[in-house]
Amino acid sequence: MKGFMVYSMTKNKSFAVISACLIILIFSAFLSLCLGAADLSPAQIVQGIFEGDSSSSGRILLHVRLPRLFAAALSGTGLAVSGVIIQTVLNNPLASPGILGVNAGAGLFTAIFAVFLPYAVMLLPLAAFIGALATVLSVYGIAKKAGLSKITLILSGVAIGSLMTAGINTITALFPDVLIGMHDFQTGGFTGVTPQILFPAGILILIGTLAATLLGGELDVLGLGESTALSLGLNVRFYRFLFLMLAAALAGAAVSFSGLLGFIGLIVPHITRMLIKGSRRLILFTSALIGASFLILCDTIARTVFAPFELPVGILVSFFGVPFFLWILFRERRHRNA
Amino acid sequence: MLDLKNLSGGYSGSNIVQDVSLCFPEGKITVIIGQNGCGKSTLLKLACGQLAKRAGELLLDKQSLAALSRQEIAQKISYLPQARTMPDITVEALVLHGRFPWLGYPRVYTVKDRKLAESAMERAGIISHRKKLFAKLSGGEQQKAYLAMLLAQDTKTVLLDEPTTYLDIEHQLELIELLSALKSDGRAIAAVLHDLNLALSCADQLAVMQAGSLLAVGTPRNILDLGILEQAFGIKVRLEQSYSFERL
Repeated sequence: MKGFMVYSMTKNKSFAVISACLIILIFSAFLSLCLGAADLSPAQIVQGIFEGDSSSSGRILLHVRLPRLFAAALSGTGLAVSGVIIQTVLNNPLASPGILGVNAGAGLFTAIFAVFLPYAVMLLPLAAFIGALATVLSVYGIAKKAGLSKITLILSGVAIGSLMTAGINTITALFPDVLIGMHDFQTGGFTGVTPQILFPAGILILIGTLAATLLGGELDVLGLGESTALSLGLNVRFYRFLFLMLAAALAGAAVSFSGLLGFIGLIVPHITRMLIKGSRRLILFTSALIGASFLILCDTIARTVFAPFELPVGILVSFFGVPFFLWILFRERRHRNA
Repeated sequence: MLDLKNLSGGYSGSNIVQDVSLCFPEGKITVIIGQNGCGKSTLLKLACGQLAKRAGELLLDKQSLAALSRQEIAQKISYLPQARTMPDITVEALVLHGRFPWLGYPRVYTVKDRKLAESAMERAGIISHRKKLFAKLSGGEQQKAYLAMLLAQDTKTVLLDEPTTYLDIEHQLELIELLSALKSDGRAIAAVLHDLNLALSCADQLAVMQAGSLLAVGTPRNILDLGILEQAFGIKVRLEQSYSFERL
């Protein structure tokens, strides 16, 4: 009986956490639609949805607020889910798409692509995916050659990442107008987002998240380490490659329209795991919710505090994310010592 | 019954294990001993297909292991590796992973899976910790949790690499009792053990390795009488009356 009660308590806790995350997501989405350079009332939002282009509030909603909302939500989802996958597959809580240089790799390929094929905007996520995949595979390959300890992985990630960043800087120096629509590309933000850029990337992120969730069982077993996963009958090499590809697709797609938003992929998986302990499916889903809400809130604040001017979202992500993350880290430590 | 025939293999170029022929029969505990670096762990990895063999044959009930998929192998052979990770999950979740080879898509546990995991935890003596986080357990309890995972895998052949490390004497004896129980189920057990005393007392069949080759196989009595241990370890072995330990 006691065992049963504990069981239902942990179930209830996950349920409570997910419900809370959903409520926060809906609340922040609503806030993001209402607030901005011109504030809209809830009534105007409903009206705007029906009236569309014929009213000014409808135009603001359709062409400014909704694309931003979806951009923030999708980018947060992609980076957070990518972070969970990378940390699990590489068995390293310090890893993330930002730290391993995956974001920078995606960014470099996006920039190169924008120089040579400036009109093929629909294909940007594909270029970003290729860059992200090339980076994650080379980081993994180098670390494996050097012994694959937790530290060598991070170090080779940092090294490859700065190489990629140097590449991005070279391109912005040589072709200053290329990323003009994304002038906060390096810090990360959503100013240049258009539905044309967002649509293919968003599809990629949704498919990637769904695939990762469906393969949650395999991801769980992979997280037990190579030997144990092999002895449980998992084709480790195949699934490791598949998951790294998914992680690259998710992070790459997010970077292709939001720039180098680094911190999300590191902190959101940690925050999720501190809130719930459970199967990877649960953690992936909750991370997606938290990542999306967090970026929506940051974007809303970035647009409103100094309206009509706005800050790049990446700055706010660091300003709010770092203290929050440190607070959770210390809280967790206190719990452990208590 | 797992039959190793002229097995050779190792990492990156060199063969650590050379031409070993050995059989793990059902209802018997085979203990592999030998000095550090003699290839005991590599032999176990080759035996369950974790490491690809370079030469020789592996026969499971007279059927070649090469013809089986990884999942089919995992349904027949379980293996406890020496290096284990510390997953951030509960004991119960870890033990349930033992059912992974038996799950179809989309990897959802049935009532039978949960029952098997429960009885595995009971057998391994870890059931009272089922809701605890794995990382918060002591070293010995973590070992038991991994053993329970192996039990839940429910295979005919069980391979264990150094299952007694981290265990104090009481838990070591518990482990030996568990191995004996598995043996009476009719399973084939093979374990690499470091502790010679423990190896001599629980083995039905003792396999002594030296520098990648099998030096001798036999009952502990046989091995002692032939002076194999002196040869393999460079020590002198005397059987003396000593304290014996039993669990309360």
